[in-house]
Amino acid sequence: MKMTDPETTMPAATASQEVMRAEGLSVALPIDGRMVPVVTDVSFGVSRGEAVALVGESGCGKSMTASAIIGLPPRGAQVTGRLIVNGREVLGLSPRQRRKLCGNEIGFIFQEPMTALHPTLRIGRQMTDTICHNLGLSRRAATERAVEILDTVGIPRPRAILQGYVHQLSGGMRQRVMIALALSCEPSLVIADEPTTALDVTIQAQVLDLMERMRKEFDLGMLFITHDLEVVRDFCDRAVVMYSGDVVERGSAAGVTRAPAHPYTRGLIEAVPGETTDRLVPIPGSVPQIGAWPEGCRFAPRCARADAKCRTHPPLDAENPTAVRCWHPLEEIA
Amino acid sequence: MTAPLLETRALCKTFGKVQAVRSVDLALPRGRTFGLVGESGSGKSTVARLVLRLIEATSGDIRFGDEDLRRLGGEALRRRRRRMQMIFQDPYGSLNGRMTVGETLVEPQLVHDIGTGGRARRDRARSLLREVGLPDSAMDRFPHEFSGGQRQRIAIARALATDPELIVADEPVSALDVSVQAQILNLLGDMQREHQTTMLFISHDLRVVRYVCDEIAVMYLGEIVERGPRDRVYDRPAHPYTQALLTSAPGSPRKDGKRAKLAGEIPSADAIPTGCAFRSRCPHAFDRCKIEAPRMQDVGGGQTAACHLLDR
Amino acid sequence: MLRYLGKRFLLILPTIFVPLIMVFLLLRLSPGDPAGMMLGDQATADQIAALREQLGLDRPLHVQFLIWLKGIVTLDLGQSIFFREPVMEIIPRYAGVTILLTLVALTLAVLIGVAMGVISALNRNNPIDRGVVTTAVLGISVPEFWFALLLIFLFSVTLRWFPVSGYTPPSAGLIAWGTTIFLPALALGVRQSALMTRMMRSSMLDVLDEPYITTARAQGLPERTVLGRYAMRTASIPVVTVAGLSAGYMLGGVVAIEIIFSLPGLGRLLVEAVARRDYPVVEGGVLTIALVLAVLNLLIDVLYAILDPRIRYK
Repeated sequence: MKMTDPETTMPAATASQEVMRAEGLSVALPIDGRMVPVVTDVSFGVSRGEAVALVGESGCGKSMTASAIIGLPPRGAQVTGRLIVNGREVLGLSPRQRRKLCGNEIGFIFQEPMTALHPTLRIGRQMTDTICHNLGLSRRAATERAVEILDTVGIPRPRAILQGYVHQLSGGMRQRVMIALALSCEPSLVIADEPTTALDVTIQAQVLDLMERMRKEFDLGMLFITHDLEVVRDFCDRAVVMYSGDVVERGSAAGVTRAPAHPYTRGLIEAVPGETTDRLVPIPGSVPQIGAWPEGCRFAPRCARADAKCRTHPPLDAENPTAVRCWHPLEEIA
Repeated sequence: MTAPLLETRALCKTFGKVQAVRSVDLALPRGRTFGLVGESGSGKSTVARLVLRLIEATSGDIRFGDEDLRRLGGEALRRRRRRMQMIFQDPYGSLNGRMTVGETLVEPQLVHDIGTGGRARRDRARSLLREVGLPDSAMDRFPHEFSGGQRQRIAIARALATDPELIVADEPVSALDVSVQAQILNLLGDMQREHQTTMLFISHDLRVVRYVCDEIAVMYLGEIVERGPRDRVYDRPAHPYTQALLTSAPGSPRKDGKRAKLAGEIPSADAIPTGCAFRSRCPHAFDRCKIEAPRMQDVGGGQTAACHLLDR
Repeated sequence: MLRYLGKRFLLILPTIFVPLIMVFLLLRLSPGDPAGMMLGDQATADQIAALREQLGLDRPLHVQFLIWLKGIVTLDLGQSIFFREPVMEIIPRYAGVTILLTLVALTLAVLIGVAMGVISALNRNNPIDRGVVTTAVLGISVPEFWFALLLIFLFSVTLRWFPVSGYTPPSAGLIAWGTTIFLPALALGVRQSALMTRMMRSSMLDVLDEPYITTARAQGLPERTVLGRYAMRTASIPVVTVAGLSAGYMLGGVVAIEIIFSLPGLGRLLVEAVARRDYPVVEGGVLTIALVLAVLNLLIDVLYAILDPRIRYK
């Protein structure tokens, strides 16, 4: 059933409704018998109708942050800090109550729909299971709802698709089904973990456009986890850049991608081949392994601007939506 | 211009009902990097394996230098393989996890009888490591002790161990993070210039191909639809598919804020449309495209494309 | 689906045909004269010659084979030397017990194996899991006959819950039948259930790490649906595959169990027929077992196709 008690829903009057806010969110994982931090002190919010990008390379903690928000971190993980979903603190909730947020309030889109959809259950079964459970509809009504939402995401002959299995669909159709599944119970926040990385360029464009359309049509808050700054620039309103478990920079998507303040963000931008064939400027070295983060600024060993000051961990202005975690930023933050 | 190092004529490969590669003509100029671009199912990786004879072509010719590669057998083929090496997408899967890096680099020298004595071969292995930016201490370590980017460096060093004339690189940076990808792309570029190696570079990433390649061929459903010098293809794409690829990628310049989107998806390779294979997704398709397959035609500046629109 | 089943059905033929040829050759190529061996030391040369003629042993091998094959197709497996009646009338009297015993043992093995495997997987690496895994290792190492004796001693002799031996057919009352079949089936199934426990545990652990399980949870489905429907559905597939093999092992182990519990089944019939050199009965018995195994495997293939749609659409 859809949650209806007043405590769980935000007052509709607020103009920029925040559907999700993380404050000092940290995740630690048990590795070889001790708790190792993988995400530290992450703070950001997502409002209705807004697309926020969580950007970084593998191992930066962006996917771990997402799994902590949905409440499905790996076994044994320790999640601390504050996490507010639709105005309610959720970290203290029981697992059962926490599970109720999934589907109803938060939808999740995975990178690889081929493995994220059940291989031996019909698409229809997976969709109606979700809809019946979350919206309390009958199978018949749930099927109608599934047809409707498949139609919305641009799937031709939705009734036939419901009878089929995931392996019978093309890559693009699979991701559309995944999106439909995530949207089927009218969540207010959708988290998409690299939703187009596994797709071909032409299909990627279709899926990105679809997600943008859905966001506007349903006024969704969208958290877009990606490593691709071009996707951030084209499809997101705000960006949160992560490196080794830290938020290193936060700001408008345009600002972060055009005039980055953190040397790491600029390094990422310069490492991508552009229209010229000028020699690329790679970031030297490689991402430090989890559990082997350097003291102080975690990017300092790879940073040309690093000096003695960088041996202490730089702070990030928690109040300001535009902020950088750097002692020597490239641009002055307003 | 000198004769191409590698040339294919009407190269075809079918797997059962699936036509993976359909009459591909390629000519790789010596000492240059040739890019093969396409989406999944375009047949680009199959072409890579065909030209190295890792799999056998169904029909067509492959010439390597002045030899007919498809006629070579046994010992002659083995000797020829020394001059052709491959770099794969997944450096972890392509490196033997039970061999130290030193052994990995000495082995191809042994197989192809390069150098005399273990000491000389190990010296050469060390100098290869230095060339790809790894310390001598890497010699006695195993692949799993390295990061993805470092493993790809090892794979490059191994490819260089036999002093090849041709390197086929199949999506060599697709599995790497952006910051590391740039390191490897620079390394591949340096290596290619230094050794005057000819490279066949296969990728789905148009940004990467533009950076690395001198000449480019675009594949769709087993065929080459457009080919030409890099700048011509990127600045003046002649085929609607190339145009769509270029404007689909995020970050690419868009006319009036709209991206030229392609409807639908790539048809299955066992149900290729009649006439022009691209017509089912082409925004400009007309009657003729259903009946007649377009031929490659010159559009100037060394650029060719297969599209009926060019006749209009 | 129908095409798939048709194909599986055709594949049955070799699984029957190969044991068929082996049985045929076993008799014909074994050293010495089978007719002489059947009749024993006191037989006269005339008697032996008469039997040879009756069995067709005086003909060339390929002719013998064709005649023999014709006999099988026309359901004429010859005359038992000991019982002096057609083999086709003897076999059905004994086959029922064996088939029921195997089916019950297989069901027990699957039920125990799946339950223990799931319990073990859900308690990954805690004492419950370790307890189950240790028990399973013990179960695999214990021979059936020894376990059978243990069961008899414990439940029949000491606790007197079940009869020590003997058999009541199901027609005489299901409960009475149950008490005579339960212990033998348990003894026959224990090793396979231990194997299935381990199989189910590892398969469940693999499946629990699959992205589609995370998806099911992220959709807000309750844990019992996630486990009971989404995880079990795929995790049970390897167990079904193994069940086919298990049935084969069980039909082999059935001999010892039938003798220990004095069940009038095919296994015991076979052993006795071998001892009596009653070759027609041996042939018939082996053929029946091969046939039962083939049919069981076909059923398992059907189940497999129901569980995994990727198979039937290939």
